[in-house]
Amino acid sequence: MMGKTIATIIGVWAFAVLFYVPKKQYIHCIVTGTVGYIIYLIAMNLGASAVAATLFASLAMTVAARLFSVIRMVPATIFIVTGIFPLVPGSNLYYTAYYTLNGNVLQGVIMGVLTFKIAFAIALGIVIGSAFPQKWFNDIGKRLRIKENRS
Amino acid sequence: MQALKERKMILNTAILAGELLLKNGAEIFRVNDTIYRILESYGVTDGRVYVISNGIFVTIGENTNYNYGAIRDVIPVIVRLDMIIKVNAVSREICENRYSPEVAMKKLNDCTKLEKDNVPFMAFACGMGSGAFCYILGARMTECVVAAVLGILLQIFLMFLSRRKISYFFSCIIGSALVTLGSATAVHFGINGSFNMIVIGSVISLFPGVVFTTAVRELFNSNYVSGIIHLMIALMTAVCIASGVGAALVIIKALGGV
Repeated sequence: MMGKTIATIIGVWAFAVLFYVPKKQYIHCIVTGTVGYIIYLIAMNLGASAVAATLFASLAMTVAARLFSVIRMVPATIFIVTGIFPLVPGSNLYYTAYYTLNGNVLQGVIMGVLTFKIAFAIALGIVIGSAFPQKWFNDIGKRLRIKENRS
Repeated sequence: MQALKERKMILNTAILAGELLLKNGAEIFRVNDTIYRILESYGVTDGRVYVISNGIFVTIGENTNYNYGAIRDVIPVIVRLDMIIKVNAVSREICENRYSPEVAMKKLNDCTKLEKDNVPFMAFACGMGSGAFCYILGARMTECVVAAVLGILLQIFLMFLSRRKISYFFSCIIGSALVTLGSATAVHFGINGSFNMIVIGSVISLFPGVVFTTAVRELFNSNYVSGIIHLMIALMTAVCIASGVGAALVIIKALGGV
């Protein structure tokens, strides 16, 4: 679990570089991604399916991203786009193509549907997280920014 | 009524901000919102904005004698989050009424002057990403290392192609085919690991994960056209990667398997 968390940190950093995120925001990108992945691991340990775990993870990640967005005064997209790195169903997508091309079409379709479900779960989590009123985040952000200025 | 020349300038400034945002991968609602806010901060209240993933349409002064319109067609190429941050900051300053339209225009044009890509750094990052993704999927250390090396090579190759203005989809096909061949070679020469795992790790930077997610988000925001455009981009990319990998698999089989 520790090793995977470190891998997530490196991976999210790599995504941040590839998407041209300014250096100042790296830490917050990494925290966003790690929060999502830890929630994912916890949900999996509690026996949730991969799809449900992904949904919870992306929801938690979006809330974190929006919080950071009001603190850092940059769009939340920055953190969301980089933070989904550990959740992307890369292997499922690959096996969809692999089985289909190898003539094992049924297996391919099963994988394809799973890929779609996970990708949809990521998006749904972000949508639900985006639906919370902006005012909540603004209030929290204001309080946190004042604290930062005092210290 | 404002001077007509100034109104034109305001329109051009607003649509330029929108264009820069859209081109670099911002969501539709952000583009829409930014254009409206810039127009309103200059006192233009009769603006109409229509944004889809590959185009912006703005008109001002409907029902007056001085009706202006502007259209931009935009092809979303690469996601550049630093540009979104910069343009967002400038548009926030515009809304605080800090700039005249001319100055705002100049500020926005300044945003487009970008530093040159740091190729070795980005290639290194891509390699680390590939290795890390492999590890998350539960691969062994040797597989991660091979995937990292292939990821570095892939990123260098992609940046080389993009400088030569080769189509993105074409470089996807070639890139994933080369990575697959490389992974087969590594396994053939006795690297202890699964061939599939290495390929998955190395092509992670090509996967359309972000585009697909954006597509579904746009659909939820009732931007159906934009959602479908993004969905098609994601599908095209996935198909291109699959065909690249598939072509390489055929070659590998012809040469006698892994």
